[in-house]
Amino acid sequence: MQRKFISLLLFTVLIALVAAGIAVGVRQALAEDGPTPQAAPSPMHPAYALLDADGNPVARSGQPADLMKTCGQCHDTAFITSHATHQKAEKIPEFAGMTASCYLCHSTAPNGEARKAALAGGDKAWADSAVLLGSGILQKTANGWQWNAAAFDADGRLKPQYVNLHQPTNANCALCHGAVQTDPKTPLVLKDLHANWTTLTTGQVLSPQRIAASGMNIAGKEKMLFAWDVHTERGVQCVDCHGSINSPATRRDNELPPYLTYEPRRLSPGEYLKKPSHILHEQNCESCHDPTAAHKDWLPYLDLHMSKVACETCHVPQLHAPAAETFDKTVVLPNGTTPTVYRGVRSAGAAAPGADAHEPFTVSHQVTGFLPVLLKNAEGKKAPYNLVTTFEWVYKKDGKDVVVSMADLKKAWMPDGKYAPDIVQAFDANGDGTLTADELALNTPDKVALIAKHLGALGLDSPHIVGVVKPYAIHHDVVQSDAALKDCSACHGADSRIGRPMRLAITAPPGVQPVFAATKEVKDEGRVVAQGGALYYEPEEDPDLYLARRNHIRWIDLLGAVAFLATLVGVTLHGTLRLYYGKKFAPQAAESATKTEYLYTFPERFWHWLQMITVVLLLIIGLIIHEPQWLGAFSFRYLVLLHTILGWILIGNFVFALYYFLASDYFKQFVPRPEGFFTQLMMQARFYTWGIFRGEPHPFKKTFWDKLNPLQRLTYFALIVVLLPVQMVTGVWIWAVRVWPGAATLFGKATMVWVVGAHTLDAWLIASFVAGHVYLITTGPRPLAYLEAMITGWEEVETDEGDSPAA
Amino acid sequence: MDKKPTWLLGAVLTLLVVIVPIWVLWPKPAQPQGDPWAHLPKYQPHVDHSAIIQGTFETGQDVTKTCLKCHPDAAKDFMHTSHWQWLSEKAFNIPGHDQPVRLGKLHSINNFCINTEGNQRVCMKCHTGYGWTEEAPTDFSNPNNVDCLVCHADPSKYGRGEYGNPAKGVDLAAAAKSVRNPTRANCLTCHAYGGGGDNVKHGDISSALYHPDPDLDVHMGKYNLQCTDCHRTSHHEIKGKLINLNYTVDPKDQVQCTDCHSSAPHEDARLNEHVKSVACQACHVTEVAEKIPTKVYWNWASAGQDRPQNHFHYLKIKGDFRYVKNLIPTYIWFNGNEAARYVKGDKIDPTKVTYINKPAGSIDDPTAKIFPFKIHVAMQPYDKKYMYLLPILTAGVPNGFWTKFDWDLAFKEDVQHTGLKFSGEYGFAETHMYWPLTHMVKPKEQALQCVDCHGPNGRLDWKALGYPGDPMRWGGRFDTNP
Repeated sequence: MQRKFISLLLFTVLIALVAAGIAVGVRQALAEDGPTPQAAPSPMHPAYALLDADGNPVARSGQPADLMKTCGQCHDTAFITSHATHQKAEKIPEFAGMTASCYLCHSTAPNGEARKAALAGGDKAWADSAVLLGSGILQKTANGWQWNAAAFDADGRLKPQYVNLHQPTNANCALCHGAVQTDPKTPLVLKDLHANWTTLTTGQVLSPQRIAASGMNIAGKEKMLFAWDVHTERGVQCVDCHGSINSPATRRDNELPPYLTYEPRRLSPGEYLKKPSHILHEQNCESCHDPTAAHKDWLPYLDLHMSKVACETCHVPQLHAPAAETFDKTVVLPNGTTPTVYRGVRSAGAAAPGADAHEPFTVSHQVTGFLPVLLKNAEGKKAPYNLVTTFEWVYKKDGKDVVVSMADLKKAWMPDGKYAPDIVQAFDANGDGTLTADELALNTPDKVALIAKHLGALGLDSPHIVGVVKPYAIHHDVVQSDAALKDCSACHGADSRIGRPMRLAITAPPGVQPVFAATKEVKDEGRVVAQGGALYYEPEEDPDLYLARRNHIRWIDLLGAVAFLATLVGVTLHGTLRLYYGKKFAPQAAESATKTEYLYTFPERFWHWLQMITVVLLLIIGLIIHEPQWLGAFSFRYLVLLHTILGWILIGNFVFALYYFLASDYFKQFVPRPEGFFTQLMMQARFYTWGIFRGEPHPFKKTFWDKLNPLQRLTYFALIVVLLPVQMVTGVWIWAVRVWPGAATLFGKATMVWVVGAHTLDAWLIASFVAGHVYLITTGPRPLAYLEAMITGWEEVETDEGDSPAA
Repeated sequence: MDKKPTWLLGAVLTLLVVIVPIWVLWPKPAQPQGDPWAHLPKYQPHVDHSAIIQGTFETGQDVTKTCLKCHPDAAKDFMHTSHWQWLSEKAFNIPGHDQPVRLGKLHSINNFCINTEGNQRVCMKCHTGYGWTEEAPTDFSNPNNVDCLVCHADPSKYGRGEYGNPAKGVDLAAAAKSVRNPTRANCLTCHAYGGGGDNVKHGDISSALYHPDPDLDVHMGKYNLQCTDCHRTSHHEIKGKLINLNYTVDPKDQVQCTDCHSSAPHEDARLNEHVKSVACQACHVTEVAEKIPTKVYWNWASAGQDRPQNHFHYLKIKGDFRYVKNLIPTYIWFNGNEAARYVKGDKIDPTKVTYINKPAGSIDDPTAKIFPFKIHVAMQPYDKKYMYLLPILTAGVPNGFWTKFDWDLAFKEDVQHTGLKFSGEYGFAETHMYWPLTHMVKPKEQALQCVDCHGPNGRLDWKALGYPGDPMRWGGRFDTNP
């Protein structure tokens, strides 16, 4: 309570200050008669001077602002730039030259485009300042960049209404990170995927808008009445999860010993503002959610699911935007770019529905969305990823592979700004003298060699193509329970999502096998396979992971089915013969006298019938659970519950019978007696294969204490001592994994494969027994005599005791 | 030889052992939160009157006479209601008035067409009686003057003209044969066209409700509910008038969402927590006037000019307007009562906004909830000497403003009808009128989402509502220190 209160208080005070500031600021802005800048002024941030590289106010010098100096007046910019992850981002080739700038993340409506243009135009000095274009502080005139004198006071400080600095909003993050929408009303439209890096690599779109209300052409969107991302919908801001790790307002309780729940020793706001860490939290689901509380009421095998499956696997079941599949950086298109193939989008006018687009993504494409591939992450859980494959030229430099720069690649393809004549000749499939995007593919070794020759001519040593597969983790676009993956068979079934391959490329340059670039986050060790010209990634088959209904051993089913069918065929044949010979030979036993004898006690009959009901139901339900594709109309979840309940009844009944038979000595009737057993067995076998057709009487007469023939004794003994106990033990084992996950690996990684295998085989054998048993009970004096006996307890037995060798 | 059928006992026992554990352990589905359908009134199928009504009819009164033969109390009951009297049944103690005041169209002043007195020729088109003229108001005691047909006849067979009399050419016999329980079409005949046009007044009641999409109104569009399913009627007294004819409202006289729905209808406890401070309508009437624009501004001062005319922008008889489509409501505290009500003759301060009505409630009022409203702003005439809003003779003939376009004449001529003196000097003052939005309820899939109100682009003005800031971050008004 104390901890909660303090953090609440701290938080409230901070927010109160911010809001009070906003209030004051807004009033000031409204009172101001002069030109109002676009952005609302910052409530907290004091007025400050923009300084140039020499530390002089830019308002006087007219020089570009130096943010290290400007922000360094109060904040420890050296500290911030020494570790900020965003600063390091420029080392990533895709972000080369794009230094992170304070204004980019901390000001309202920063002009990212102006900054990009400045960088592209080589105007690096003004790039950081260019972000302020449009804020009323900076203008671009024919004479170049000019500070607006009206925005500064006499001391060169910005007037308060021009100060609009704050913690990063979603709009700031959206500038670089992809489709982040802040306004739920405007229908969302993705235009340039390449400007939305996060969306391009993962298909994630952070918007509070319901997908159905978006402006995109998404297949089946009218049914998608959920938001792109539930957290964004609930007003969670980017910085709420990705905040500074030393901010006094965020919790940092994760490294505490278990007996502590709160860390009260924190930075003061002043200390924090001086040196705010720019390493950002990467909160995971459990930072805020208790998945156990949310799932315990319905999800079977809760611990197992939680230990094997990442939250995102079920809660980001599908991406509803396109994402990159392949960056083909081996080819230069006529417009000077390299081709990208997208997944989750249908080509405009594609002949084959579902074909992914290999032309620039536009709003006219139909978005089909895609299922992420499930890879093993650092925690060993299956988690969703998108795989992006890049093919690119490399050359040898100092014994190492170095990527050919875009400039060199363009020079090789277009030495004079036009495709080289021999390239045109080699690639011009339709012979019209010009090259089009679909002709430009390195699909033969000759074409690869030709480009390699051109690159070699530029002085690059042994140029060749490499392929890299990069996994991009998917943590956003979370849906809540209504839309989450709740269909068990999505993973538990023949067409399981677990282990399902993901396509890497529709075509690949000949002889290039892309390499999976493992990261710290991904522990998956799958393989790249070629199939029909396309490349796929097959995720690692996890021996630790036994997936009910997916990892079946096929030969067990085959063996079991053969045993069961053989029994059916056998009894059918036997029955036919009996009918045939029954007409030929009058039953000899008909003349022998019969009497009605009490054979089965009430508890015996109760045990038998209860066992019959449970076994038959268990077999049927077990089959449906085992092969859902045959009888998929039933809910897997409820069938498992039913199977479990019936299994426990079977066990209870077994224990009851065991007690009853042991306590009453009745068990003796099931135990094969050793003396003359083999002879008697042969006599009974001879009866079933010969005598029964001739109408001979049964070789053994039933009495209360001796009602089972030797063959029955053997079969029932096997049923009671082997088949049923094995089924119960393996059944309980499978159930026990739910409460004790360790049971799954008790005897090594393949434990469950064999436990479930034994359960399956045993089920087939019990089914075979049931078939034989049901047939054999018709072999009495009348076909239904034995059935009646098991119901009433009374049976007509032959009285001619002299004939019985067993007497 | 004991052959008693113990096996029967065994069979029962065996089945019990199987069924009982399954029954006990089977997951029980969550109890549904009450069934809204169970609360809907059940109507008897209406008797087909086509064979009962005989002969031909010369006047509306003749029809009514025929109706009253079988329904002798109908007119008597009806004549107590505001549909007939154009006055509230109750009289209210309104600040500034010594005597309790009965409210109603009979003598009220609003900021649309201003007043009915003197303008009966047109206004009485929507009074449920025949022959209410300027000189001789309807004989209020004559039951034959009640117009049964406007509510009960098929509107395609019936229409009304000047002074509320049946329109020329109407086949009264055919209309009388078509009578049945009132449908949406009957109610919309008047209620969709208040203020002189489709959806002009309410915003949430327009001709779009004749055949609404499910997305426009879930009750009427998806489930085809009729007005009377919620506005239940007993002896012609119709429930649910909000603040139209009320100054204070007894909640039990009001139509409430909770008449059918649970008061904690959401799965998420955090949403149910909203119910204490947010009216259902605030999230479920996300916008109105999606099909037909509604009027939000009316400037009488510019009426009478010879300018290009257009229903949505300028009419010579009425002045300048502003219409809005997809109106986003204004959200204010509302406890069901009013805090201000303009009564004919009340003094105004023309330098300030005069409230024709104003909902009561504030953040400190625990019974108040945040409720969506349409606000209609008008510039309308007032008497510069007597300082009250001036009634106008508009549709009245021959000297009404709509005929002569002479303000002085129009004010002077209406004195005989209203009893309010006109000094000869007039100006135009700003008035505001609040219209609670409670129809056009959206399906739950289109209800507002968190970020529609909470967060940087929210549609609620927390400060104006009296909160220190967004209650999602600052806490709600009932939060206590843990």
